[in-house]
Amino acid sequence: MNYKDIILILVFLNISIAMIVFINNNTEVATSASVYYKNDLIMTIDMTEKEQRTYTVDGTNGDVVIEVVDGKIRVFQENSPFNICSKQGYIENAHEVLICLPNDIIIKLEGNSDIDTIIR
Amino acid sequence: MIKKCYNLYGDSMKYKNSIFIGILVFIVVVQIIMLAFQKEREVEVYSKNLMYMDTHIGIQVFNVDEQKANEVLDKANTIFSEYHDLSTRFEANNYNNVFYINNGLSSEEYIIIDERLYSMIEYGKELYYQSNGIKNINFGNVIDVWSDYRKSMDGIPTNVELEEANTSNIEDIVLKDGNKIKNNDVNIDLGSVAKGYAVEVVGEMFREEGVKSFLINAGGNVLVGDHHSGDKFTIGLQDPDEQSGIFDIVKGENIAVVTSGGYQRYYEVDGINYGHIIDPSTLYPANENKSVTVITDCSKKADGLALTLFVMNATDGIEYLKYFENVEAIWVTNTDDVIKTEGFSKYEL
Repeated sequence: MNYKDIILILVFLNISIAMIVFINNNTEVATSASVYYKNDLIMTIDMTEKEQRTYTVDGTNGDVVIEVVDGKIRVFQENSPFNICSKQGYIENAHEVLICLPNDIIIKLEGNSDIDTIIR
Repeated sequence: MIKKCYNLYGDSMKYKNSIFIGILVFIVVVQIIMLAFQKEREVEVYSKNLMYMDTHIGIQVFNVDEQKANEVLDKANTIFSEYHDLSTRFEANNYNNVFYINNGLSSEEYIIIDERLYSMIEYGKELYYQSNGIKNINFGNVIDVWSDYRKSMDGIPTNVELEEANTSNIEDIVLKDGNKIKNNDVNIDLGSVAKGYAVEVVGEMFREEGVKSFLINAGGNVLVGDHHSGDKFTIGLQDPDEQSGIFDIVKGENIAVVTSGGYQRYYEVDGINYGHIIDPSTLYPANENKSVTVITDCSKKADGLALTLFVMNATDGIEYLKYFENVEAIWVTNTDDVIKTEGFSKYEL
């Protein structure tokens, strides 16, 4: 075993540990979803409630219907040429994002640590 | 020749290689430390969910071992259960509770009551004077008229019905010796006194037990201790019109946050929403605000103030708060204006 082998081993060790750190950082469960219209926060949705429900927000091309069920969220209906964001389907992990560009709507899932409790 | 070249540069190559390996080893060590630190950062949390006083109560304690957590969570359960039993208007139990007092036949004798119930009623009376009669614990008769209509979903009570029911006077509640109440014709409703009171008692118990980091959310009454990781607790304020929307977020440690109003307790007649909080001056549901949230250091104080402010309009409310120290509030008015006290922003992001 020469220096090159040691270097190679260390490089791989490096990459694998970096990946563990990365994966650990990304397994946060989403607790809320922030809905933005042209960078303005227009709605925050509680993701901890499991029951199915829908929200309608105003997009540039009209209504954007958002469906939330069992900790997952998707765009259910929207007007755009290719319906890219409704075809994207459900997202559920913190930091995941749904982008509906023709409608200028962005839905961002926020992580576990963002909100500790909600007061009614 | 090649061998010679190798030998020629051999020593410096070795030297460079060992620096490189040294750097890599250093990076690996740093990463391992980060990994270990991250594991440590996963805070130990123990929670309990309870149902008392017509509401869901969620409790979390942090940074304690399992045995201690179970011990204090059981104690919290006992406290909420006992305060529920003492303050309920709807059932008889082992205590000479509010139900017992309200349904006692009027006589000049005194009933012996639990000290905790005594201090809740005493505090309720204090709130009456502090709020100029807006928060009235001897208002059960009028509340009953409204809740009968709300349950039947059939119209609203007439003026005459309400006036006839409105016979109780706060002075009819007569307390004595720290554990006695006069058997008078009273209809006490500790509705929103008891919740804040019990939350405060549980918080005190946690601190006495050395559990400094905790979060209690008893249906609109939130009390938090120290944050578990040196940060601040984040509390979402629900939009009164939406079931899950949040209109603002507040952050803090060792604070009580209480909301009066909220979305769920309306009933609708002829397109008009009637809330559950009755304004004693009109005998009709207060309709200045959709919700009022109060932040201060103590849960029972926040609870009393939130209800009082809910009945007032926001302008009067801001004036009223000038008599209190260290209280901030945010209003969502009936016209959907969001109004905040001057110092409210210190709790915002």
